[in-house]
Amino acid sequence: MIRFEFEKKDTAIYMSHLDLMRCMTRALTRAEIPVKYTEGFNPHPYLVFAAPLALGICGEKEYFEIKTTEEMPFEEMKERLNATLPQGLKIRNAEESKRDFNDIESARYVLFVEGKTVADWERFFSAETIPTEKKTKRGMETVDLKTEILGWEATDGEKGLSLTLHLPCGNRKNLSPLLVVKTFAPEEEAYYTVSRKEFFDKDGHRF
Amino acid sequence: MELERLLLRVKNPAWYSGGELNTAVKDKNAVKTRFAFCFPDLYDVAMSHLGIKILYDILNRRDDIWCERVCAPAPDMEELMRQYDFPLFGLESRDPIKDFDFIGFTLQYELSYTNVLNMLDLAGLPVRSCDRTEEMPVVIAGGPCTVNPEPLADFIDLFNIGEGEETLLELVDLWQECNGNKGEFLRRADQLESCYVPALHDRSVKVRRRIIKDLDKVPYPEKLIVPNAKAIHDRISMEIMRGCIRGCRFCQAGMIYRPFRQKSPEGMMKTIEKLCKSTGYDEISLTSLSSSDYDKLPQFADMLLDYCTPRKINLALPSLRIDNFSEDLLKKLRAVRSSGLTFAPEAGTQRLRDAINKNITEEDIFESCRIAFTGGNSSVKLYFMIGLPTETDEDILGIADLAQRIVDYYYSLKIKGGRGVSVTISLSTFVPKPFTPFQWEPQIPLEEIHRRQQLLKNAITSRKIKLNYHEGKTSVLEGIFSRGDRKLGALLECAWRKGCILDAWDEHFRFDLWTEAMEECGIRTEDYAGRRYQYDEELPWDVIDCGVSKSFLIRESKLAYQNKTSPNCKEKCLGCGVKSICGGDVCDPV
Repeated sequence: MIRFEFEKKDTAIYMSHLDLMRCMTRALTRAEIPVKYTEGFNPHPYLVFAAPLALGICGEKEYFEIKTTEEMPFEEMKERLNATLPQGLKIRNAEESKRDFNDIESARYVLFVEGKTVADWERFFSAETIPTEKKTKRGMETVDLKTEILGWEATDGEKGLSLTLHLPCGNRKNLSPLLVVKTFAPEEEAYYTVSRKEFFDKDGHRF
Repeated sequence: MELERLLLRVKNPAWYSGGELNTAVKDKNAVKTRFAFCFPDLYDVAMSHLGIKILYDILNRRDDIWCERVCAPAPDMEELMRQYDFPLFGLESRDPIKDFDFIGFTLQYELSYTNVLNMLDLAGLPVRSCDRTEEMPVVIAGGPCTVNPEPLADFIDLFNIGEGEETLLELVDLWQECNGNKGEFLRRADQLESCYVPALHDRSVKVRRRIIKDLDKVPYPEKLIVPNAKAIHDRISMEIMRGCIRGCRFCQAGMIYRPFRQKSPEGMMKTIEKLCKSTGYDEISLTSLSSSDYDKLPQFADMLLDYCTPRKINLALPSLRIDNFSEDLLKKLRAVRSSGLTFAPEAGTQRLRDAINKNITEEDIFESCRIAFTGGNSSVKLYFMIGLPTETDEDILGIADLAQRIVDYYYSLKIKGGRGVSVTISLSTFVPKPFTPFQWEPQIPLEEIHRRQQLLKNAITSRKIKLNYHEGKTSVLEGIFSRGDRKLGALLECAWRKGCILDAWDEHFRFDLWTEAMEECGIRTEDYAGRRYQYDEELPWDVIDCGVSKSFLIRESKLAYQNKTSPNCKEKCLGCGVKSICGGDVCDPV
């Protein structure tokens, strides 16, 4: 298994996870990387992404893994892919997989929320509970942001609030930073940017 | 205001962000002419359309031209654009298109006309040509609907009739020669054979449809834009030929894309290899009006399969005709991936199939079904039309009867391990179209469309048969505009001002507003869609010479009433008249 570290920025943030999978499959084809395909009636490439990134969020250290049918130097795969990726996607590193994506437990996000201040955030977060509605496979569910948010740090900037959030992320439990920011700044014309910086495992070590 | 501020508030931001692979990005200061190629519908439809890809490529091959794509925004995006005064922009540069030299619309279907007005308005331009100043861009239009340009004549400065590969570049050259003087440009362009400037044109001078003589000699894209968000047809389209040898009497495409011209398999294979490499797509669709009429289809299919199979590329072959559907070919296609089969008998009885000149017999249909069923396919989709000239209730009941007999036939074959048959009937309503033998025919009224749909619905008893159809109101509107005259400009503007846009989408189509607008403008369905036009009356589209002559169309129209078929172009030349615009060396389908 080969693990690629990549970034998703600029216009590529408007790709959904499904769009990204389609895009990467085609990029691997264009780059002529010897990807291994699944057996069966409808073969598709072995291509696995770490925790999906929601549409609109920028990703700085994202990961996917592939299996190959023959050897190719990591550096060459990286270069070939970078020569054919659309604007905003870039491979930063390719290497042998060392860890299982299932080890991911949390992630750190950096947000900018226009027109808001640290005081606004502190007021928001000082409530005893912060219930909000979350869409799940089973329907709408109420979650309490107060207990779900693992950690935060806020600083005032010239145009708004800069907020670092540490949130559960992965297969077992996941909290979208968009849910947090939409609860905090529910105004229709609110403007914010969100960026995922890095993943952590259950012991709090960098993934 | 930056675009980013709007994007996260809409459902499909990737429709407006640009940044896709293989887009043309140029330095605006280094180009002489900027061209906004507008597709008057949503991004996922626009990006499925082959014509825009061909012309985008041709324009951008020139260093002095920058062609960008522009699509109609969905209502959520439009609302924000209007709220924040964010003008319609080119996807590549995000610059407002009102500052471009050309705004070019492709008119693919009548129900996109309100989007043309809406896009001009979103660009910040007056919708009517006469209200736009010399400094504003030249607004041009092309595409199949321009064979009757009259309904849009108030809004478009210049129509380019026919195939655009050569003329678009000639128009840009003329523009550069005129140093961007719009008045002079339009005066001179109107003198060109295939150009129609409604404000200036002398109607006694016919505008002649432009055709490409040798398709192998015009460029075909070697790379395609790969959308970041899924398009409706997200695949490589390879046009294998243009024109059709069949003369189905209702079919406009079969008449206005004449003559029949085929591309060479070798040339296409080279292009396909490049396209696969530059896009990474896993599906190729062969595009034409009737793929199985391509002379070298067996050889070409082999070449394609040799290339596609090891690369796991799927091959789609739409528009296969039922009668020469080959068993061998089907088997080969199945080697890649199987999908359901679609056929278009169009009418339920042999009598009516003869009248519309759909040269398909019942034996052909059942033979095709046998091949499909024994080949392991158990789902068949059949296209039919209601409201065809001379149609009676017997013909409609014939559709149900035919579908039922296909179901019975499946079970009579006693296929081992079969999952049971499924027959889907897809029903559309006949719309009379210019330059067809049925161009004089009235369309049946809405109530009659409903009655005939119901008649068919009640005649279907098997649960193995599924019937799909559209309500019918959009067909009426299509019927009004397809044969419309210049008076419809007022209706179009009125309906658009009331809020009619995206009429091709059920969820946006507002027949109530259209009805209101028609009352206000004094336009009645029975004067357009519902009227029988006379052979000897002057038709709104008489200013255009499409190649097929009126005498040919009248001849064919009369044969329909005798339930008589005509041979196809390979069997016998019927003297349709197209040779007059292309010469005998081009039109030689044998």
